[in-house]
Amino acid sequence: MKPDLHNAGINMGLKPHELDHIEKQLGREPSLPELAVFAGMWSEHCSYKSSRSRLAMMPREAPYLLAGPGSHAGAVDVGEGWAVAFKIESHNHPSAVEPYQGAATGVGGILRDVIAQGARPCLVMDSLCFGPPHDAKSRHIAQGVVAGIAGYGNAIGLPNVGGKTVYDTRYEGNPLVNAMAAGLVRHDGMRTARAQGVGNAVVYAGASTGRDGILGAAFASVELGEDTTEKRSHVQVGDPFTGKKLMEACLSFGPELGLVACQDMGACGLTCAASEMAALGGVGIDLDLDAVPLREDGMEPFEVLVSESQERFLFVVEAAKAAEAVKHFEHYGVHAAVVGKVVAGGQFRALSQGSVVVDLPAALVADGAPKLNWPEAAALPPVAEYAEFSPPKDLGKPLLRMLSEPGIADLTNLYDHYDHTVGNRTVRGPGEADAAVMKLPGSARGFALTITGRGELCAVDPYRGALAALGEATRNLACVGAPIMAITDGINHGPPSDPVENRRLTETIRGLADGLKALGIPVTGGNVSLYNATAEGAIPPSPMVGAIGVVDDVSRVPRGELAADLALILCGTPLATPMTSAYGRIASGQLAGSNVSVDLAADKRLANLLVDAIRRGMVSFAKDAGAGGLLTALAKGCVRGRMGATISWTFEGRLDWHFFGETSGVAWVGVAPRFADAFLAMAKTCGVAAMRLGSSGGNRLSIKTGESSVLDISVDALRKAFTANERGAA
Amino acid sequence: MNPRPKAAVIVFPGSNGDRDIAESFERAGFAPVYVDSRETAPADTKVVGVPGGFSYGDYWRAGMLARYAPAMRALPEFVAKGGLVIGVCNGFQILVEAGLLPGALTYNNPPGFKHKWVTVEARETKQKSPWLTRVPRGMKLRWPMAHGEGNYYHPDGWDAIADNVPFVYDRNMNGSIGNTAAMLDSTGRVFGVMPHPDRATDPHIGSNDGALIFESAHDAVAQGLA
Amino acid sequence: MATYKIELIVKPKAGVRDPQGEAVDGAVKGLEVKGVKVHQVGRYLSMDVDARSTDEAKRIVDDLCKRLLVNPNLETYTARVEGA
Repeated sequence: MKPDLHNAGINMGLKPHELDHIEKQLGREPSLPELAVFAGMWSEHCSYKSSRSRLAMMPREAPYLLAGPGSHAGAVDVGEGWAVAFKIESHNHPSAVEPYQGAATGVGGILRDVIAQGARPCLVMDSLCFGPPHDAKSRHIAQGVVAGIAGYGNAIGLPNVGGKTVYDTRYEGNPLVNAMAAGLVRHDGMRTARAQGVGNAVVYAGASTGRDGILGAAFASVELGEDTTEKRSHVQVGDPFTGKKLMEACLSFGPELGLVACQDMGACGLTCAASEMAALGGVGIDLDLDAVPLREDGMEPFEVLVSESQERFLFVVEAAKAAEAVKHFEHYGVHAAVVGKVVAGGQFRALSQGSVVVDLPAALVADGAPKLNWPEAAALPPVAEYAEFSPPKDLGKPLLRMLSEPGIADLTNLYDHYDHTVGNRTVRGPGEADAAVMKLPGSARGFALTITGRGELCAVDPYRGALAALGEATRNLACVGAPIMAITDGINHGPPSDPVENRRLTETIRGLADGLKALGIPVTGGNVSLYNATAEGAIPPSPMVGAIGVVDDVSRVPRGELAADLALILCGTPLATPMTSAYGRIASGQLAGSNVSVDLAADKRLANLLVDAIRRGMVSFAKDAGAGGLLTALAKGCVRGRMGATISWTFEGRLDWHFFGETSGVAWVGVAPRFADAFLAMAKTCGVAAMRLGSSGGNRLSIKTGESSVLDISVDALRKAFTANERGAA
Repeated sequence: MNPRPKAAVIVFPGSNGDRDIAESFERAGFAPVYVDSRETAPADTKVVGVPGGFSYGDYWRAGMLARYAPAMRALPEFVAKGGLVIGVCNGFQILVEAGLLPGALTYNNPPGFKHKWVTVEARETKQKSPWLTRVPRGMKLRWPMAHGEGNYYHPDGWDAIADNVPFVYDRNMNGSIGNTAAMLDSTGRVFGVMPHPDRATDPHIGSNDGALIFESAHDAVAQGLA
Repeated sequence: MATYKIELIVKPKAGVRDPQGEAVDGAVKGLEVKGVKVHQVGRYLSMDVDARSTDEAKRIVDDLCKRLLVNPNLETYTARVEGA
C-alpha cells in the first residue's frame, strides 16, 4: 500500500495488520472512501473484533426465543401472540463529550433497534454510572445525561420505568450511559434485515444526512488538509420529533406496502445498514450517493457513507412499490428517497457522480474484521480484604448512613424528570417495586423488566460480579412474580489492549455465560463497550444485565412499599461475615474488599418460591436484599409505605454484616397473617430457609436480637435520611 | 342497541397520548377514530379528543404550531353546534393557543418537566359541564401529571377564571394561579386538563379516577345532549 | 463603572442539526405562506452588566457565554452591547 494511503488508514484507526488484510482480500489497494468504510465497520463498536469469540460462550437458544443475537433486538414470546423485543446499548463516550445529546441520541438509537425489529417501543430503562455528586464535573455530566434521556424519551412518548444509578469515583470522567428499550410486536409482525430480491429498491427514510459524528478526531487528520475536526464532524443531535414521525412511518410500513427488509442507521450509518443487509441476504447493494438527502453542501462521498446523523432508516422495498413507499414516508412528514438497488453477487458498491467510489465484498465489510486476540494476564491482581473495624452496637447510625448513600438513596427527584405513565401500560414504575411491570394490551397478563449490574463487585471479581448481577436480576423479577426468562447484556469495560483488563473481560463474559447456563436462560443480544478509561485508569468492569420475565396476572404483583399488618418473613440465609458490599466500603473506607458473595442456586430457589406464592395471590410486599443489605431493603419498604415494622431475631455472628452484608438469595416477604403458615410450608418445599420475624405496623422500625434492642427509629427519620441527599443528578 | 357514538382523536405530528385517550374513550363506550390533523373529523362525530404529547416537538412554544391544523380550525363550529371537546396536557395547550379556552400555559415554576401522581379536587363551576356530571364537587381524584409547560396564567388573575376552573391541584405543582389544573369554556363543552385522566382509566395501572370524565361525556351523548 | 445593556442571541452552530428550525419552517409551510424560509430557532437573553468600558462588558459577556450560556459543541452567539 502506498505510504500516504497507509497513513490515512492508520489515522482513521485501522491497524497495520488490518490494512494488510484488506489489501490481500481485495487483491488491490483500497480507495480512500473504501478505507473509511473499513475504518467504520471494523471499529470495535461495529465489529466486536476483540470480544466476538468470547461472547459465543453465552447460551443463546431457548424455545421461546423468537429473535436472538444478531437481530436488531432480541425477542421473546410473552404469550397471547405477543413478543417483547428488547435490547441494551451504551452511549458512554458521546455522553462524556456532550452529556445531553449523547444520552438523547443513545435513547433514540436503542429505540430504532426495537423499531427495526417491527416492535412498537413501550418503555425505556437506563443504567447510569457517574462520578460522585460532590464533583462538579460529574454533576454536570449527570444532569445533562438525565435531561437528555428525559428530553428524548418524554417527547417521543415512552415511559421511563426505572433503572439504576451508581455514583463511584472510578467513573469520574468516563460515565456509563446504558439505555434499554423494549417494544411489543405480534409474532408474525417481526422484521428482518435480510436484503433480498435482485432489482428491489433501497429506500432511505428519515432526517437528512450531515457531517455528524464522522469518526471524530481520526478523520480530521485524514488527508483533508486544513479542515479542523470542528468543521468536519458535528456532535450528533437527537430530534425526538422527527424520531416520532419516523417511528410511526416505520411501524405502519409493512410487507403489504412492499417492505422486504429494514435496518436503522446507527453507528457507521448508511455503510453499516447497507453492507449488513446485503451480507445477511447474500446479495449485493448498489448505493447512489447523489440520491441521499443531504443537509450540508460539499459533502465528500466518504462523509455521506459513514455519517452518523440521527433518525434514519434504510429499507429494501419491492421494486414496483418503491415510489409508493416514498410517498408513504412523506405522508408522515419524513424525507424519503430511493438511494439504490439490490443486485446480484455480493458487492457493496457506492456511486458518486457517475463513478464507483466503493466496490467491496459486503461480507468482508460487514463480518470480515480479523479477530483481535489481545494478550491476557494469567491472573488478576489480588484484592485485599477490608481492614478490621469494630461493629456498631446500634444499627441506627449505619442504617441512616446507608439510606443516604448516593446510589442507594431515593432517586424520586431524578425519576420525576421522566414520564413513567405515558402509553397506559405501566403497572409498576420507578421505585414502586424491584422491577418494572408492564401490561399487555387488553389483558391482565404482563411482563417485567429489570436492569442490574454492580461495578463495585466486578472490580473485585468480575466473574462473581457478573454472576451476582444475574442473581440480582433473578431476585428483582421474582419479587414481582416473574420468572427470569432471558437477558440482554451491556458489557462496559476498560481497554482490552491492557492484558489485565483483557483478562477481566474474559472473566466477566465467563461469569455471564456460566450464570446463564445455571439459570437455564439465553442472552438475546446486547452491546459491548470497550476502552472505557481515563488517565486515572480503567473503569471497574461493569456488565449491565437487562432481564425479562412474564407476569401471569398483573393484579397480583406485590409492592415494594410496606403495608400495615403484614407478617414479615425473611427468606434465605444471610451470612454474618465480611463480604464485598456498600457497607464494607463505607465502614472500612476502602473502595473494595475481597469476597463477593454469590449463590445463583439460592437465588433460583428463592425465585421459584416467590413466583409461586405471588401467582397464588399470597404476597403483599416483596423486596430483595441488594446493595445495602437486608436491613436497608426493609427500611426502604418502610419509607415507601410510610409504615413501621417490629422484628425480633436471634442469630450468630456480627450484627452489622448480618444486617448490611449482601448475601445472595435473601428477600423480605410481607404476607397477610392468614397466609404466613402456608407460605412457610411452601418455602420448605422449595428448599428456602424462611423465618417469620415480625410484623408491619406503627411508625417505627424496631429490631430486637434476643433481649436487646439493636434498632428503634422512627420511619420519619429513615425517610429524612433516604430523601435528604436527593442531589444526585436532579 | 345503539351503535357506539364516535369519538375523534386528533393526531398531530408528535402527538403521543393519542392511544391513551382513544383507549379511555373506548372503555367509556365510545368508538374512537383517529383523525389526521390535516383532515377534519367525520360528520357524525359527537366528541373530539385533543391528545397529549409533543405536537411539532413542542418547538418554539408548546401547542403553538398545532393550532392552525385543519382539524383544529373546524373545532369552533363543532362546539357551536353542541360538540364536546377535551384537551389533555398538550391538547389543553393547543386549545388555549387556539383560543378555545382562555389564558395561557407557560413554563412550570419551578422549571422543568415533572411527572407525578397528583390529587386534584373538583370545584363548582358556573356553567355545568357535560364532561363532569359524574364528578361531584369536592371529590378528590388521582391522576398523573407529566408536563413542562403547565403553569396556568391569566392576565386578569384568578377572579377572572375562578368560575370556569373545574379542578385544582391539592397543592401547587407548577406555579398555576389558584392551583388551576383544568379549565372550561363558557359553554362547559370545551374541557382542558393538564394532568391525565386518560392515564387513569385502568385500575391495574394506578387509578381508575379518570374514567368518570369519559363516562360523563358518554352519558351526555347517550342522553342526546351532545 | 457604568451599566451596559446586553442583548444576547444564541443560535445553532452552522452545520449542526436544528430540529426546532426545521419544525417551525414546516409549520410555516403548512400555513401555505409562500416565499418564506425559516432558517434557525435560537434563544434570546437580555441582561445588565456593570463594567468600566464597553470592551470590559464584552469580555464579561464572552466569559459568561463560554462558561455557562452557550454550548460550544452546538451553539454560537452574538452579543449586542449598549452603553449606559
